[in-house]
Order: sequence, then C-alpha cells, then structure tokens
Amino acid sequence: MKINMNFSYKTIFSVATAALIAVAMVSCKDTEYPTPTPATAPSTLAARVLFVNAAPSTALNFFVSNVPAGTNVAIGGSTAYATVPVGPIQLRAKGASGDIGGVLGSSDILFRAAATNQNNFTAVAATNYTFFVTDTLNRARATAIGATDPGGPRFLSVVDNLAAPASGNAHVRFFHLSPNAPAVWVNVLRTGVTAPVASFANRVYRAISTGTGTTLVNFANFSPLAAGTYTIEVRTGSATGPVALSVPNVALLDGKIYTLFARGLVRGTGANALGAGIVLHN
Amino acid sequence: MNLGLLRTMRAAFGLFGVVAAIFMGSTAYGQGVTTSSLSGVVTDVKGDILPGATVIAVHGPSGTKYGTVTNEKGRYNFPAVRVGGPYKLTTTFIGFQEQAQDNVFADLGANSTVNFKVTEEGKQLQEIVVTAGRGAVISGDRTGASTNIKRESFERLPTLSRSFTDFSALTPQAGPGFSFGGRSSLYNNFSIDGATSNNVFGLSALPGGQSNAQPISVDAIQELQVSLSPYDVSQGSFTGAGVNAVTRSGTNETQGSAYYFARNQNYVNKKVGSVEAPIIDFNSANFGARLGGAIVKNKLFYFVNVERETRTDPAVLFPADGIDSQNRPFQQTSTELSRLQNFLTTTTAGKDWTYDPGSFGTFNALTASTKFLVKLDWNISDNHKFTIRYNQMDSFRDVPPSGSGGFAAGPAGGRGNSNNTLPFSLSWYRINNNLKNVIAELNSTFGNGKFANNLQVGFSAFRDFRQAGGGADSPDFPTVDILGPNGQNLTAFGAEPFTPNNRLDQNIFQFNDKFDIFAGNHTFTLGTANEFYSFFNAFTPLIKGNYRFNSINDFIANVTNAPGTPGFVAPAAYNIQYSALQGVAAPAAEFKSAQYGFYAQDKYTGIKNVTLTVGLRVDIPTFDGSSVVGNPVTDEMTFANNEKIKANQLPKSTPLWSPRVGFNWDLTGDKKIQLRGGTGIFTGRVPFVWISNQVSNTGALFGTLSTSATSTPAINQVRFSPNTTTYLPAITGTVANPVIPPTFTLNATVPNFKFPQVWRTNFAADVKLPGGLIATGELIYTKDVNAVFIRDANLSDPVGTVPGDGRPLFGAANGDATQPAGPDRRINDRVVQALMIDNISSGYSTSFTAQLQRTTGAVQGSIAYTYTDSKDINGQSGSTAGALFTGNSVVSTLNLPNLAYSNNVVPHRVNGFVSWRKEWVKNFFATSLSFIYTGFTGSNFTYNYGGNVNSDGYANKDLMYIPRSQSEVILAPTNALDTRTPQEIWNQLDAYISQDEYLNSRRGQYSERNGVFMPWVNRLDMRLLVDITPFKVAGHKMTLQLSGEVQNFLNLLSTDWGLVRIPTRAQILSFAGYEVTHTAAVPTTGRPIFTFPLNSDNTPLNQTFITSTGLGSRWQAQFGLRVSF
Repeated sequence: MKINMNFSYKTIFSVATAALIAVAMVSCKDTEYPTPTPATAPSTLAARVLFVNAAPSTALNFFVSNVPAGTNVAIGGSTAYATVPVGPIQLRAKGASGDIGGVLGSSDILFRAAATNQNNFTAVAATNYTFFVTDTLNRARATAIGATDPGGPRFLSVVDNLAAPASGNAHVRFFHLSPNAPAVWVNVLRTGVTAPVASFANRVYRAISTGTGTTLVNFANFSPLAAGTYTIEVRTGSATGPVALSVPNVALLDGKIYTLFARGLVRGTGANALGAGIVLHN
Repeated sequence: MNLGLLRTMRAAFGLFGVVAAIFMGSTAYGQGVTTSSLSGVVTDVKGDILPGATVIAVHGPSGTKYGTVTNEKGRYNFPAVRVGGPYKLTTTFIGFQEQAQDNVFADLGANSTVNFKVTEEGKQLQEIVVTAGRGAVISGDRTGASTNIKRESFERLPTLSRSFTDFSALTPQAGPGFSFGGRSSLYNNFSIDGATSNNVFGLSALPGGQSNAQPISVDAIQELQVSLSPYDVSQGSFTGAGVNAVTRSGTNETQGSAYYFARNQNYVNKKVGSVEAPIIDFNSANFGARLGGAIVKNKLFYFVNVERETRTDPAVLFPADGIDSQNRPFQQTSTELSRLQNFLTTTTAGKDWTYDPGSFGTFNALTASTKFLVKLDWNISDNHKFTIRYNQMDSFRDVPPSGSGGFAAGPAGGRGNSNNTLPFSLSWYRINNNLKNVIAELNSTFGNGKFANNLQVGFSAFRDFRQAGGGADSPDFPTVDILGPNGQNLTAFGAEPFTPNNRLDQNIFQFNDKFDIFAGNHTFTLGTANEFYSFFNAFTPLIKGNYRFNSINDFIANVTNAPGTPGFVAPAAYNIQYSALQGVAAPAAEFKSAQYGFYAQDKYTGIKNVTLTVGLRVDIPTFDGSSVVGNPVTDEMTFANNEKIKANQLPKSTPLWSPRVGFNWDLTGDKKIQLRGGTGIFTGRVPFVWISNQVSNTGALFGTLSTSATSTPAINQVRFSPNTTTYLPAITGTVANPVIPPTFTLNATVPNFKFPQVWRTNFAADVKLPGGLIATGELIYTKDVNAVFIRDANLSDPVGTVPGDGRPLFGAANGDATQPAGPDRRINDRVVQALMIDNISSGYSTSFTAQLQRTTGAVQGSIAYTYTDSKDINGQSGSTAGALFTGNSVVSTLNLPNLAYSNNVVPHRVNGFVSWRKEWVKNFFATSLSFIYTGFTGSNFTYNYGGNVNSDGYANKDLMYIPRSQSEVILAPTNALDTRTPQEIWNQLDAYISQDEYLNSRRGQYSERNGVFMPWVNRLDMRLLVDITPFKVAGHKMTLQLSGEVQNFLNLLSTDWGLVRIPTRAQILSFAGYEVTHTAAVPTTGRPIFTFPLNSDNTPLNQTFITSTGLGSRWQAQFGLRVSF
C-alpha cells in the first residue's frame, strides 16, 4: 500500500489537535448552582417573654439566649415583656448574687424541653409567654424511670392571651407554684360577699391544665372579672376546706390582665413564707 | 432467555458478521490481558524486507520456545508469549548469517519490538544489526495510558499490607482507594490471569473487601498492568481502569521462598505531632511460601503459593467496670451484666427457657485470610501453550454488632462497645469472604505464524456469608437491646440484627476467544468475550426481631410476668421484619445475567513507523429476571412525569457499541520519540448489587411489624419470647399472589437502562533522554456517555422555596395514610421511595501527566506529576440505590444533583519511586533500598448544613449558603448550656468563614459538592532489604533476606512531618427549625434557624483543619524475614 507520508502525519496531527481542542472546550464547562436569594434584612418575626421568680430562694437575673431580660428579680417579682427572636430560644436564670448551683453542671437554671435533653424552648411568632422559675434550689431531682419532669428549680412556661378585656373588666388566672403545698382551691371574693365571684378548683403544684380532649381545661386561659378590689382566699382539701392563705385588698383594674400565683413554702419564713404573687401583663 | 432477547442476540451476531467482513477476517484477544507479544521486521542491510525468514524466540528461564517465519512484508509476530524474560530471539535465512538478540524482555499487555538487519553469508557483520525496544514504554503497540509494575518492584518496594493495590497506586493517574482518574473504584475491571477477579457484585471493589483480605499474594504476581485507555478493543468491561495481573510460572530452575512479616503497636508512632496518643495493641502477621519449577524440563512447569495473614485486635476497649478519662465509671458494670447473664442462662419462676449470650469479658477480634494458588504451564509444542491456574481465598473478620435499627430506629448509643455499651460476644458477627477461581488458557499459532488463537475458559465462585462472633452459628434468638441508667444502650444480646441468612453467592463463568490473522501489514483480530453471572443474595435485617427494654429490671419484669398482670412491663420497642411469602423463610434476590462481547480490529503497520488500530466492539448485557416477584400495587400506580414502574422488569438488553481508534508513531524510527494516542468508547458494567437492589426491593418480599399501642399485638401485650415467630401475623402472600404491605420501598431500573459508557481520548508523547531516562507527557479526557444516576420517582414537587434562602422547599410530611392531608413528599403515599436507576450523559474527567522514568539499570524509578479534573452527577460509589441516591449533596433536589467534583478526584498528585540495589560482596551480601513518594491534594469534602433544611426527608445533604452578613443568617444558641448570645455566635461564625479560604471566597453563594480539598499530604514509604547468601544447598544459592519497611518515613524522621490534616467539622451550621412551623397544610413562611455548635471542649470552632490522629499521621514499620533459593 502506497501512502503519502506527509499527508498522513498532518492528518494524525490535525485529528489529534482537533480532539484536544474539543476536549479543552468541553471540560471548561463549570458547575452551575441556582442563584441564592438570601434575606436582605434581619428577621421581622418576634415573640415576647416575661419572667417570674416563683422559686423560694433568691433573687434572679433572667436571660434569653444569653441576652439579659431582667435583673435582680426578687421572689414573687416579675420582669417586663422582652421582645425575643422566634424559633429556638435559650432561657436562663442566674442567681443575682452568688452561685446558686444549677442544672446540667452549670450554675444556672436552664430551660430544657424534656427531662433528658438539653433542647431550647421554641418560641412562636407574635406570641406572648410567661416563664415562672419554680421549686427550691436544693430540692432533690426526680429519679423515677420514665419521668418527664426533671424536678428541681426549673422553668414553667405558659402562653399569654393578651386580648383586651371587655370594658369594665379585668382578666385573671391562677397557678399553684408552692412546691410543698397540697392541691388548693382558690376563691376570689368581693369584700363583704361570701359567695366567690370566681374560683379556681383543685389546682396542684405546677399544673397548667387538667383533662384531655373535650374535658381539657387550660389554666393559662384568663377569666374575666369586673374591675374592683377583691380578697383572694386559698383553701386546701376542698372549696370549703381550711383556709391556708387569705390576701385582702387585691385591686384588679379595668382593662388590665393579671396572673395570680401561690408561692413560697408551707412553714416558710420571711421571703419564703407562703404568699400570693401577682403579675400585671399590660 | 425470552424471544425478544434471542432476536436481539441474533441481530447482534449478524451485525458482528458484517463487521467482521468489513475487517476482512480477523481475530481475537482475551478479555483480561495475560500475555505479552514480540514482533519485528527482518531486512537485509540495504533495508529490503526478507519474507520467509525463520525467527525463534526462547524464554530463557523456562526454555519455552516460539517459532515463526516472516510474512511477505518481512514481519514476524509472537502474539502471546510468556510475560517476563529474558528472551533470546534468533533469525535464520538461507544465504544470510544467523543473528540473535539476547536480553529481550516482554511486558504484560505490551509489545517488544526486535528488528533484525541480517548480513549475507561471507560478509562482514554490520555494526547495528538489531534494534530492540524494551516493552511497555516505547513500543509500537502502545497507544493509551498504561503503567506496568514488574516482579522486581513487587520484591523491592515498600508495602505494609502486602497488597498489590499499593503498587497499582504507582500509576500516575491513581486516586484514593483503588480508583483511577477520579472515577469510582467500582468501575474498574481487575483480572488475574485473565479471570475476572473484581467483586462484580460491588459491595466492595475487590474480593475480600469486607474481611480486609488481599485477593492474591504479591509473592504470586509476575507483573501488573494498569491500563486506562487501551484502544485495543479486546479489552473491556471497565470505564475506570483495567487492572490485569499475571501470576508467576515455574521455570527450569526450581525456585522457592518462604517468608514471614510481622508488626504490632510498638511499630507505630505513639505520638501525633507533640501529642502522646498511643494506639491500641494489635498483632499482625503475614507468612507464606512459594515454589516453582519444572516437572518436565522445557515442557511442563508448576508454581505454588500459599499465604496466611492474621491480625488480632482487642474487641473490648471499654470493659465492664472501667472508668473514662475523667474518672467517671462506665455504666456497664460486671455486677449488672452478670445479673443479666445469670438470668438468661438459668430458668426461674415464669421463665422456662435459657440462652447463652456469650461473654462480656475481653476477647480478641480476629481478621484472617488464607490464600492458595497453583499454576501449571504446559508447552505442548512450539505452537501450542497451555496454562491452567487455580486460586482460592478464605477470609474472615470479626465485626461488632451494627447499631442500626433497620427499618425502625436503632437503640440510643448503638450496639458497639463504648463507654456506655458492652454487647455480649455472640452478638458480634464474622464476615466471611471466600473465593475459588480456576482459569485455563490455550495459546496457539497456526499456518506458520499466519494465525494465532487465544482461548480462555474460567469459572469463579465467590461466597460471602456471615456467622456469629467467633465463627459460631448465628443464634436463632431475637436481638435484645437493654438501655442503661443514662438512657444509652447498655448491652445487646441475641442475633446480630443483620446477620441471619445474610449470604451472597456469585458464580461467574467466562468464555473468551481471540483469533489473530497476520496478513502483511494488517493484523486482524476477531474475538468474543463472554461472562455469565448468577447471583444469590439474601439479606434479611431484623428477621429475628428486635426488642428494646429501658432497663435490665424492665426486661426481667417483662419475661417473668404475663401481660396484664401486676409487675408486667412492656418493652420500649419491638420490631420485626418477616418474609411476606408463604414457605419462604428468607426471601433472597436471585437472578442471572450475562454479558456478551464481540469485537473486530485491524492493526495496520503499513505506514512507516506508524501503527494504527481500528476496532469495534459490542457488548450486550442480558438480565434474566424471571424469578423476580412482581408488585401488583405499583403496577397500577403512576409516578412523577407519568412514569409507570414494573417492579419485576429488569433492564432490556441494549447492544453497547465501542468503536476505538489508536495510533502510535515512532517519529524518528529509532524509538527515541513516540507520539501515541487514540479515541474511542469504553463500556463497563455496573456493580450488580444495583440490579440486585431491584430484585430485593419490589415491595413484595417482606412485611414489617412495628408494635405500638394500636398494633396487633399491641406493645403492652408483647412478652419477650425466645421464639422468633411468636408475634408474626399469618402469611398469605405467594410468589404468584404477593401481599403488599401498607408501605414499602421500591428500587427499579428504567427499562432502557444502559451500562456505563465513556468516550475517552488520549494523546501522549514519550521521549528517550540520555541516561536511560524516558520522559512522557500524557493527556486523557474522558466524557461520560452513559453515566448512572438515581432518582426518586415518588418524590413530589417542591411546595415552595425556603424563605431567606431561595432553594426549593419540600412538603412537611412523608405522606403515609396516617398523615393529615396536604402537599406531602410522596406522590403515592404507600411508597416510601421509588428509586430509579437511570442514565445521564453529564460528567467528565481530564488528566494531564508529566512523567520521568528509568526502567533499567541499578537505580530504577519514576517520578510523575498528574493534574486531574473530574466531575460527575452522582459519585456512583455506593452499594445500594439508597446510598447512591443520598450520597450527594444538593441545593435543589436529590433527583438531579449538580455536576460537581467526583469523590475520588485528586487535583494534584506527585508520585514516584526509586529503587537501588548494590551487591557489596559478590554472591554474598547485597542491599536494596527503595522509596515510594506520594504527595497529593487531600480528599475533598462538602460544607453541608446539619439537618434537613429543604424538608426533603434527607438530613445532612443540603449545601450550605455562605452568609455575607449577619442579616443573612439567623443564629441561635445550640442548647441549654450554650453561653453565647446570637451576636457572639455570628462573630464566631464570621471569623470562621474569614479564616477558611474556600468559604470566604464563596460568600453570598452556595458551597459546592466536594468543593473543598484537604491540605496537601506528603507520604514517603521506605524499604530496606539485606540479602545474605551464606551457603549453597544442593547447588542452589540459599539467600536470607531481612526486610524493614516504614510507611510514612517522614514521620519517623520528625513527628511533626508526614501529618495528615482533616476538617474539624464539615457541617458547621446545624438546622434548628424554621421560624414558623412547616406543616403539611401550610408550608413555612419563616426563615431557617441555625446553630453554630462549639467544639466538644466548649471552645469556638475557629480553624478548618486539625491534625488527624489516625494511622495516616503516624509512621508504621514492619519487619520481615525471607529465605529464598
């Protein structure tokens, strides 16, 4: 076979060169990911939280995600509402002075979403929350198998419905936050009237609801009351049982929203004496 | 085989005939390369060709003789000669003086050219009469990239694990593992003496992959060839690399060797950098022997090798009653574990059964393998050579129980030994990888060297199976997990959940034939390469059931009290998977497949100094899915884009064509400068496990019982039973009428699925330099023609976009029947996933290599630099469709990942070796010193979010957006203990991004899949051999060889050198939820919130890389002793 050699070499070269150029061009094609559309401003969604010190022990400083939300709150006292981000937020209470010996090896009282985890609270947008710190600092933790409440000083959270009361009314609710007191019946009495105008029956320590499904009663819901001055009477055993505590001259003002709570300890003294706390939400 | 298939086959055969006719008769090579070739031209001194000259080649060590005569073009060919040498070639022709050339070596898969210029009788010899080229590098047959590693290298270069993969990595284009050119290691074809020896099922790239065993001893290998782009169409079945090993053969001189290599924890650096961190005690030994010789001199030879490798590691690193580094006691105490053991092994009130769970004490986990190989070579005549070889591998490894829960959730903390968990010994499992392989090969020449034939017939049987720990039978007893006081799993006993029935049998029958016709300047080759596979794969997770109890007390209370009686405690969980087919205890994936390959090629040498090859190959895979159980439920369903899925329909047979053209041009005609290359299609196979996935995941084989308050039985009625079938429902399904469970996973293959094909173009130049050096520049470009990717045909369209990010947002719920209505992730609620294996043409790989090598002389070596760029759509490295599907990171949808760097790409790699031998006292004392250096860009990784930001149901697969400013990302404290404010967290994140070169360069963009590369790694391995030959025994020199080798020699020189740096954490941001809850009814309108977790020691994450404390950052040494004669 006779072949023109020069032509062959050229052919080989041109084919090879063409192939290489094609290769180079194809391999330059790069990865293309979609164009991100990131947010251009901080989030506008927010929630509000208010802290109450219902722990018979010491004055507390409160933090949301380590940002201060109230300082030196004495027992029975509360902070104003703080505006906080939505989603997971960390709740923390530190002793106003000294080391109070907290949970999870920290020196602080920390919110935990369940007894065995370290998850933060999840705040929903445009929602108001009240967080109570309850129980005594040195109380032994619950150890029961399967317990969901870790015991000891800890947060109790409720949602606040801050819808304005009808004209001439106040809104009120009640929580039992005295660690060593039995279940209580609370009567709200008009001065000089025997029959209570409102009552909160059979409230146990830290309970925020009772029943399930159709029988569910959410203690966080507020009850309307005509504005005025009342006596708060706390009984044990039943609605007619012995009076454990009576707080006179509680003024509930028109258009205001209140949380009442039992605090302190049975046989407590001084600041830790059994008493009633009151939080004004607006 | 059905009619359609037959028709396809007939058509293919017909086409093959036509192609053959076009190439005017031709011939065949075998599939895996097993031989070398010698060829050349005989001319007189004037350069006129001499047809009819006799040429004889004799393989010196064995006296094996090959004879032929030159054809009308003066050309002779020995197409299939024994690999190695030295050969002596002699030519005689009436009227001319006899001429001979000694010391010709023949390399595997390469051609050595010996040209003779003979002188008329009575005349003075001319000065240059013979030109001989040595094998692999500069050779007229060489077109594409290939690397040959010879016996001398196996004998001298360092290899701690005595693995041939340490040598295949000398290939400049090699990547991590057993990968080449950035492609998946599952796409290689590995042959031993032509027998397919990779793990075609693909649970690992090579046999013994699960038992850490080497499929063949390096002492049995004569030569290894790694071929990336052979344009010889007789080679096939890979789109990565073809790796061919040929074993040693006996010679006339009886030669043998016995060896012992050992290492333990004392031969491993106890420090990493300046940190004292000794590794756990272990003992590893590798010992064996080989013997080769002649049964009949010059005629019949034998070679035998046997090798055993053992390694013991302590199984229990966290024993009962131990304490952790902070002096806190482990929760596993011998008091509690013996209490449980006593309870199990004795009867008591309410418990009439006993069970021995094994021991909770310390024991040794074993890894062991035994390899045996025997080979016979029979020189039937000068024209016919026959070889038969048998090899066998038996191997196993003890493995702790898997922590996975199968279809349900596994126990917290897993089942393996930790500072919380100590499983009983019978819950371990032993994985066995066994292999038997026989291959016979007949090489013949006919018609005075005008025709040659190569016939290979082989059979391989792979047997992989599991036993209980220590090699006992897996107990017929449920898996029981018992949690400890801290909520983490305390112990596990009973069957390892994935071990019962777990078995994989693979049989491969091979038939290859290749016929060569030497017709003047043409060498025509016709051939066929066929493989017939049969697979049996049984995998029955949780078939014995899995109980979980919250404490030992709960377990005892459950066993000893009847449900409903006081004292009874229900299990925390009980899950079992069962056969949904009547009378089939363990449904298995059983199917057959075959691949028929036919090829025709012309090698043309009619242009001066140029060799051209043109060839066409067709591969026809077939699948026999007749035993696949169908799914009448999915047959009725419609999936995304109106796709219909037939669960029992395996892919159709599609002929896959591979045309290839290659050239070699010896520029100056004196073997000084060679240009070579080619272009063409290469067809591989997929790991058959991808097909097997379909057979075992039609939804018809298994049912599951997950007990709950509403299940039958309800969980509070479940009393532990040692009988594994107590709680199973009545099974009514049959193969003909399967009963499909309420929800199931479907794996399938698109009907017109094609095996992977790539178009690979190669261009290279080799230049001989002074001093025996050869310089090579090599460019390889590979384009995927049919790549493989996986999609979920049951994944619904996104329901919107993620606010504040823009990527698609998927439905909130899986969408099973119990979920509320609303847009969910499943198109058909009963189908968890419908994973379809499909083809895509995106993907490429480019590599450029510059290499300098010296293959002869006292100092031999090579140094090469390789640049590689390789991108793909799917890494294609997993063994299940599920793993392949979720193996990618995406911005938009796992159904179509972006083209991104391959898992195995190594952008820059420098590798080389040098070996120097010196005989200090002749015939008495010699040393050889060798080094292998590899410097390479570290592996790549991906910055993903932790968690599931796009709500597609797959966590840790979402590529991270790299924020430019604080307003682009919402950050929250990690947990209750985090002491940082959001502002502080942002400051730390911002500082981290700033110090990370990659992230800082991509602010405002998404991170890329495999976009980040770990720092450069320097690895130098050293081996020193000392040979002492003190005496002779029966005329043989007895050599005592002491060897010492060090992996990561730099680290031995200084503990601060040879360190490997790895990422501290690839998921720097974790998804903590949306601002507004994402529900099935209302997709979220809130932005995602992230945490930026601290390091485990509570320091901020402030650097991308830390020094690995693994073996890669430590020198390791091994000592050996060898006696040879």
